[in-house]
Formats: sequence, structure tokens, C-alpha cells
Amino acid sequence: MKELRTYKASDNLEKYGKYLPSDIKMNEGFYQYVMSDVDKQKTGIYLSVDIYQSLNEKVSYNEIFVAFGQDTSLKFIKDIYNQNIQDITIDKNAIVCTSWSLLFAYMLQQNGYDVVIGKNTTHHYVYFKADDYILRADATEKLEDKKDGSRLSDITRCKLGICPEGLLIYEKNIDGRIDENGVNLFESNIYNSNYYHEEKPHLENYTETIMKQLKDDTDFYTYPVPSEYKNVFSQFSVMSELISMNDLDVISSINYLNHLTKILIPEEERSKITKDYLKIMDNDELSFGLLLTYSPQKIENPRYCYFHPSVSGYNFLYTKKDGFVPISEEEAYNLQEKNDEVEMNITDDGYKRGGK
Amino acid sequence: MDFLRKRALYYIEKLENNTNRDEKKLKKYCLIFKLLKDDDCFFKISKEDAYQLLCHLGVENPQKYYLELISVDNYKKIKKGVVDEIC
Repeated sequence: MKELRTYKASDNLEKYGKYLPSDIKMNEGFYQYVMSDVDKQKTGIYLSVDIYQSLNEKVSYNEIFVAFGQDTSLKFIKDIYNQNIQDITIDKNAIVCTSWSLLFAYMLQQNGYDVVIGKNTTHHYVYFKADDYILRADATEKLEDKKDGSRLSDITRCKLGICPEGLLIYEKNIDGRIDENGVNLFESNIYNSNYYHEEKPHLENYTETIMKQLKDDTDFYTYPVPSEYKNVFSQFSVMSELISMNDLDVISSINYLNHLTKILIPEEERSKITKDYLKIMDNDELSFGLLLTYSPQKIENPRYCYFHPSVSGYNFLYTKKDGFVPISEEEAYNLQEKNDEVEMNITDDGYKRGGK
Repeated sequence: MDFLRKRALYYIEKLENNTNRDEKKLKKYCLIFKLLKDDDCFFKISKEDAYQLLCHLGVENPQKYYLELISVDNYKKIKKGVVDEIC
């Protein structure tokens, strides 16, 4: 655990940013709306986290600002950038870094915190004192989650109930200035929350965590499931129908099919499915396809060779041209063979692959 | 998704205002609402789980509705959302 710098009450925050203008005011209705989800019994860091969480859940990033590349040379983009926070309401809740910083700073100030707004070229964030620490809050920057690699802003992360990344607490620094390498508050030993410390719901297991709670703690499985849901072939038909309506490129289509396989095919049947990504030569045109083989019976020798899974069973081929269609074992085998021929032609190591 | 979220909220409000509060049921709908905050959720849960969820929310034709939720159009929206966040 890193050693954290403690600050004296006399430390002046002005070296990190500017105090709020005295005439600034947030829409009262919106302020009360955000505070309605804040536990007012809390104090210090804990109260500030509640405000941060609640505010982020109730604002959205301004889509127009993103769509026009944050180009402040355009007047209407500049107006968004300089938006008066009085105009941000429950219904009109779009923000950018400037307005978010003003909102969060205003809310902290109203709750007795010493707070300033920091600026790096055009990006704004907030510094504040809580429990003798200085913290930096930035909910609009997309920060990388060290655990799952996702890049989301805390505006999104808080809505999803996953651990925020934009609340930093600072290390001890000899020259008295804030070190650039802050520590995520939730990874420090300063903040102790059962929610973030025990569950740590990061993006990849967020759905899983909730589904487990639904299954364990409630009467979730109440309704009889239609019998065709268990039928793998019905699900292949659904996949065929869904993929036929798509205008995606080949790689995205295959990605979509992989998603569909995961959610439509019951888990116990999914293990009987193999996938083979193939290069397909069609009228001298090279394209890409996915061969999906479903083998209900256990296969003793699952692969006919090292490079490809067995085609014994029911085969389906996805190509951009024909969609997701059933093919025979013979056709599937020929496709694998053809793939190897194509690969041999395009590799220069002279290594021959394939063979039954 | 907005429709489903509104349905979940409707049940939560109804249960919260009931004099004999069914805490277990309330927890179920709160969890469903939390799950639905993720636009991507129907691409992460099984078809059977999705069916239960839609039935709990009183969706009239859950099978047909489900196909719309996992349609290419919705898949593209989700992909776009991710791209927007990453850019």
C-alpha cells in the first residue's frame, strides 16, 4: 500500500486550481434530485463519494459535443463548453468536463468542502479536501480499468454500478506539490466500503454478479420455458434468421454469430460445438467464413488433423454471400481442404498442411 | 431498453407503495432494473434467463420481443456505444 500524503488544514488549494465564482448557482431542483440519493449522515470522503456517484448517475455526456469532435472554434460547441450550470436540469442533463466540474464543485461547496477547479489545457476536473486529504475527481475522462482493460468514463461506470476510476487520492510528495500519480481512492486503504472492496463489480462480471443474486435470492425462475429453447436446431434457425438481416462486414458478422451462439445455445450443448475460421476461395475471390460444427455424440478422435476440428455431425457455414446455412460433412471437409490449399499458396515456407 | 426500464420502475414503485411490502419481490425488481442499466445485458445472459426477465416485466410476446433485443440493429447500437466510449 502506498503512503499517502496528509494535508494540513492551512494548505491552500489555490495552487491546484481556481475557486468557484461567487455568483455561480446550480438549478435547485437538480441539486435536490442528486442529493436525494446521497446519505446525508455521511461525512468527509464518504459523503463526497456518495455525491460523486449520484451526480454521475444523473448526468449524461453531451453527444453533440462528441459528434463535433469537441471543436470549440464552432460557436454552438463553445456555448456547450461554457454552458451555465443553472440550465442543467433533470430533463436537460447533458454535460461536458467544464459543466461537470462546476456541478460537482458546487455540490461539494454546498456541503462544506474546500474545493477548486483544475484545468489542463481545455480539460477540467476538481480538487477538494476531505478528511485532511486532497483528492482529484474527474468523471468525464475515459480512464482504463486496470482489471478488465475497458476504457469508460465514471459517468458510465457509475451508471453501471462498477468501480469508479476517476477519484484519486495523492501520494506524499516532498516538494509539497501534488504528484501526478494519484492512487485510485478505492484501491487505497483510506476508503473502506463493502460494496467496492468485496464485490468489486468490474465490467466483465457485472451482469454475472446480478444474475447470480437474482437466481440465489429471488424467485427468478417462475415461468415455464418454451420447449424449443432447449432445441439446438431451433436456435440455429434463429441464428440463421437474425444473421440474414444484417449488413455488417464479415468480421463483425462472425463476432455477432459468436455472441448469438453464447446466448442462444444452452450451456450443456455449447461444449459440443466447434468453430473453424476458414479462407474460402470463390471465383478467384478470397473471402472469410465460419464453419460451425455441432456434434451431439462424443467423438473419439475429435480432430481429423492438427489444424481443424472434426466435421462429424451437423455443419453450418457462415459466409457474407450465403449467410448462415447448413452444409453436409463432405462439403465441410472440402472447405477445410480448400482452406489449406489457399494457405499453402499464400505462405512461402513450403510447409504442407492438412490430410485426412 | 427504455421500455423495459420503465416497466421495472413501474413494478418497483408499485411494490414500494404497497402497505404490505413484499421485500423479496422488491429486491427482484431492483436487481432487474440494475441489470437493465447495461444496454448490452441481453447479449450477456442466456435466452432462458432473458425469457424469465421479460415475463417478470409483463412483456406480452416475450419470444418476439427477445428477437428484437438481440437483432443486428441492437447489436450495432451496442457496438457503436462501445466505439463512442473508446474514441
